[in-house]
Amino acid sequence: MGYDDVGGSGYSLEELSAYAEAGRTPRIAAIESNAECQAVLAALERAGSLSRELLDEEGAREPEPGWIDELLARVWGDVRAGRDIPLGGADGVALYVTEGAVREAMRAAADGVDGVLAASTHLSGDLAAGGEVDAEVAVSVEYGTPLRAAAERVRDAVATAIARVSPLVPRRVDVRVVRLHRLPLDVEGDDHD
Amino acid sequence: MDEADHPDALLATRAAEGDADAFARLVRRHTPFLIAFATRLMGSRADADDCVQDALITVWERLPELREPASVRAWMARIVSRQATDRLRARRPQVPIDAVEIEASDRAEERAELGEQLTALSRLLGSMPEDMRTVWLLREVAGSSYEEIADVTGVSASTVRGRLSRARVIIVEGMRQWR
Repeated sequence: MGYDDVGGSGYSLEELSAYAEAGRTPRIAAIESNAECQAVLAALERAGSLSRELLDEEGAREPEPGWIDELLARVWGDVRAGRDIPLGGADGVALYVTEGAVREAMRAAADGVDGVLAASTHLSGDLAAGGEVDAEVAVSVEYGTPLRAAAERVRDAVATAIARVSPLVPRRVDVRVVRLHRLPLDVEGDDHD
Repeated sequence: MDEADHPDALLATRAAEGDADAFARLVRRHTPFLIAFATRLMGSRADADDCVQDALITVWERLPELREPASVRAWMARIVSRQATDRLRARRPQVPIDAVEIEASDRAEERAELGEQLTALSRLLGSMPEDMRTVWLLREVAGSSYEEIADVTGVSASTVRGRLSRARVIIVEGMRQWR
């Protein structure tokens, strides 16, 4: 059978696909009233959902043990350290903490507040020993958690963490709530359909 | 907080700024899918494992460029496809497409439990020329745009359109025969 003019509708298979992808709007009567076109549209839709199902089925099998560890070991050698912050030192021994490590401490501090997950972190200002810095933490807060109280706890925890792991002086810590999440129902990264 | 609760967007944002732990969670969550995806593209599980491993290194390196952290899974699938396409291009003279087809249909038979239709589709995809299979999977499974597919496969968007169109004919034709 020909796919240039499906069922005598005047529409090709390619045009039918484009129509389906556009969510069948605006509605084209010549397609909607043609049984052959309807069969092709149904087949395309079914093939798409079966393909996703097939990959999901196959994806249910785990990779070999050790495979992920091997990969992570390759990545681990390339941690984004950022700038070095001098910790001071004596007798020709230089000590540094990296900006990456400070930001890790900031994330951990924010995570430690009930109902809060850190997203991104930012550090600016004078990254020398005793230097004053401005920090910013973007967080996701669990739905129902009082925002102001949570943000204040995050600010205190982050300021404390910066002072604990580095010689930096936190001048200002801004907290931005960029997202609200609902747990454990809303693992929305998993809605791949 | 339980690690299963972290949404993709959050993990991707954190991994992008160097949180290796967040990256590990992201990898654990999506690797089974990516390997299945690469197996479909490459026609062999062993090749797929290597392909995904290399692709994930690229994912780690390029995470800071990701603009929509919430669609990190589709983005990873595109990086896997690019890697797979490069590998297929490199090996093409050595491995005839027939070999790929046979392996794909053998696997399909091992998995009768997937159901008749899935098995039939699996065989259909396995017998399809690899350039068409790639665009079909990228479009339908990874949800990529024509431009994204063109970028990954190194051809023009109109070539992608043509391949997808031929893939659809094969699929619709094939499904017609199931009934």
